[in-house]
Amino acid sequence: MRRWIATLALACVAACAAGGARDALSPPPVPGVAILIIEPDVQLSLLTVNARKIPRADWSAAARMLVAQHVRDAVQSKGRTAVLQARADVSVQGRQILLLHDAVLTSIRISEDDDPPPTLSRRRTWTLGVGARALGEETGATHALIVSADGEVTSAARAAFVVGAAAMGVLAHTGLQRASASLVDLETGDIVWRNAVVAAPDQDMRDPDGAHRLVTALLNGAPL
Amino acid sequence: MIAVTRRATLGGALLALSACASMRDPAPGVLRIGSGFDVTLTRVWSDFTPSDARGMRLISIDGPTLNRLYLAGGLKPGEGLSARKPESHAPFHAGMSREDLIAFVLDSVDALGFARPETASAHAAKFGAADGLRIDMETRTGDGLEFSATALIAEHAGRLNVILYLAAREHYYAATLPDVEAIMASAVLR
Repeated sequence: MRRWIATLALACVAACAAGGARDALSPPPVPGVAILIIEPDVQLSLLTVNARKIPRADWSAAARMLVAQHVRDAVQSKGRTAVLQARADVSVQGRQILLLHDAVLTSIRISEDDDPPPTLSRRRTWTLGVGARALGEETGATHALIVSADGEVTSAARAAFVVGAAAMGVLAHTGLQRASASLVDLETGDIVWRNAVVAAPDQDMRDPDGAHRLVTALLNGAPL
Repeated sequence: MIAVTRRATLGGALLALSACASMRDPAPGVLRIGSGFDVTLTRVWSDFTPSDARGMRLISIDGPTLNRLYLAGGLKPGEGLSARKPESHAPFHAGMSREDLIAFVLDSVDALGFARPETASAHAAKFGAADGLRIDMETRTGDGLEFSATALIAEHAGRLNVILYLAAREHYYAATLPDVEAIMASAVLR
């Protein structure tokens, strides 16, 4: 078993294995409280015919706006107040908490391996610590919803190449879009719920309807 | 928007060290570190030691992107903690001065994929029966996640022994520090 290889695969490929909604790890937000929505971190690229990834800031910006809108709508549809926080406005400590969240996600992915290390079992809980309070200062929110997404959009030339390769029995890589969400208790820093999905073909987050379907799948089962 | 690179951030840098890992998760009890020393663990740790490491163990409680403990025993002159050596890396040589030892540890932290490690304090400390040096540091990942670090280091019989703990400053460093302090206190040179 090569744990570092597993770590690399899990960290780089992220949520390639579609994850269903997890059971709540600790008490979810009580009805009526405000939910802080951190501006989704979205990075999309074009996958060229030679499998090169070219970052597309325009796609990322469009998808970021759409995902944020649908996440906010989903929270509000539960009768809650949604407070959207731009990442640029997050405090210095808040930024550290968001970076810590990314690091925690890497450990969570290791814990979801078939044979996880003994201290990273699938059943364990995860926390960002009490420093997470920095995220919710002056918002009145008790929980924060942290969403990130990335992926590639397959170019037409790449799609033709993939079809041609398949005809010759060769499996070639195509683009995938992925998204993950964590609900964080801002008092304790505990991650009380999380989910990760791989976008279905009709869940292109650059498209309003696709983004809606992706967010619906992502937040399925969230204790909002 | 802040630059938050989600994928393979610290993990990617670490993985450059080596591709493989053993599955020798250390259980509570005595853990032998190369030819250099033994420590006593009071709990289970997860092993992330690169398979090509010699005389060194890398173990963690919450995963190496959150906390990690390097235990290197009996390093020979010319050896270091990392196979990846930056231009500034100064490998161990016998008879290193206090300043040389501090520079060795800082270079080692840099070589392990961290950015701009700085010494917060350094003072004499016992490494088992040997006179050693305890060094507290601050550093960060390439993405900017702040880490705290502490090292206990001592030369013994011409070989270098190192216990180096690094963890995210938010929550994780303090959470595991008592375990690390106990491990440092348990060290017995061989």
